[in-house]
Amino acid sequence: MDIAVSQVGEGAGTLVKLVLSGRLDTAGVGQIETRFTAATVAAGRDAIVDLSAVELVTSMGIRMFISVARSMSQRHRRLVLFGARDLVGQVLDTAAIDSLVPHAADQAAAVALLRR
Amino acid sequence: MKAVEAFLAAKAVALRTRLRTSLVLEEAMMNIVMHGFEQPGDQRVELAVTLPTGAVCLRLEDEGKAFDPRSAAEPTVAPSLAEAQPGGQGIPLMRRFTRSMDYERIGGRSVLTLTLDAD
Repeated sequence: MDIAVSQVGEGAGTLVKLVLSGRLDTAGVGQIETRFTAATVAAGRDAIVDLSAVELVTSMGIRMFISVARSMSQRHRRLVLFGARDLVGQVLDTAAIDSLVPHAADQAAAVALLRR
Repeated sequence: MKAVEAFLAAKAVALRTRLRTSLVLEEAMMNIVMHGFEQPGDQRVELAVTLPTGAVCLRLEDEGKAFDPRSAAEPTVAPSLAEAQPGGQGIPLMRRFTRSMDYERIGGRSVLTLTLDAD
């Protein structure tokens, strides 16, 4: 599992963007959780997560998203996922966590959710 | 997991099926390891993978506590992040991605059989 971090936007509206690739299973979470948390919770900004290059998410991945989103929420920041395909989209639907960690179709929709 | 995927790939099982199999297998194994044993130690889980026509069949056998995952209640989604407790998604995912889930307790051992549709 790989993670790439960048920023979207400018000034006060700057968001953190994370691009994940690979598998977010137990091993994958172990590989990136510290960096993922540092890039989101510690950054003090809203964040969007690109899942288009993720081929598998298990309950450990769901657990990581909820845990991070909760920590961000305590700091009045939000986390939005986007771009999940195929099996990953089905897993997110099954987990039914959209009310806690929203999932958008693409980056533009994810950013729009955060701008509301 | 890698050995199972390598076996399935060698049998020309489609990638989508291999991914679903890995997902279901991880969820089943995590449940057994995290909830099936009182003490860490020599926790053995025996796995058999077979390929009946149009399906992948996983048979997991262990000496842990008896637990029928079919009896687990569906988790409720917390009303807010502050109240959300990470976890509890494993069995719903197993239900969603298997054709059938069978459980038996035989001679002090749990036997869980998961059957997935093959693409």
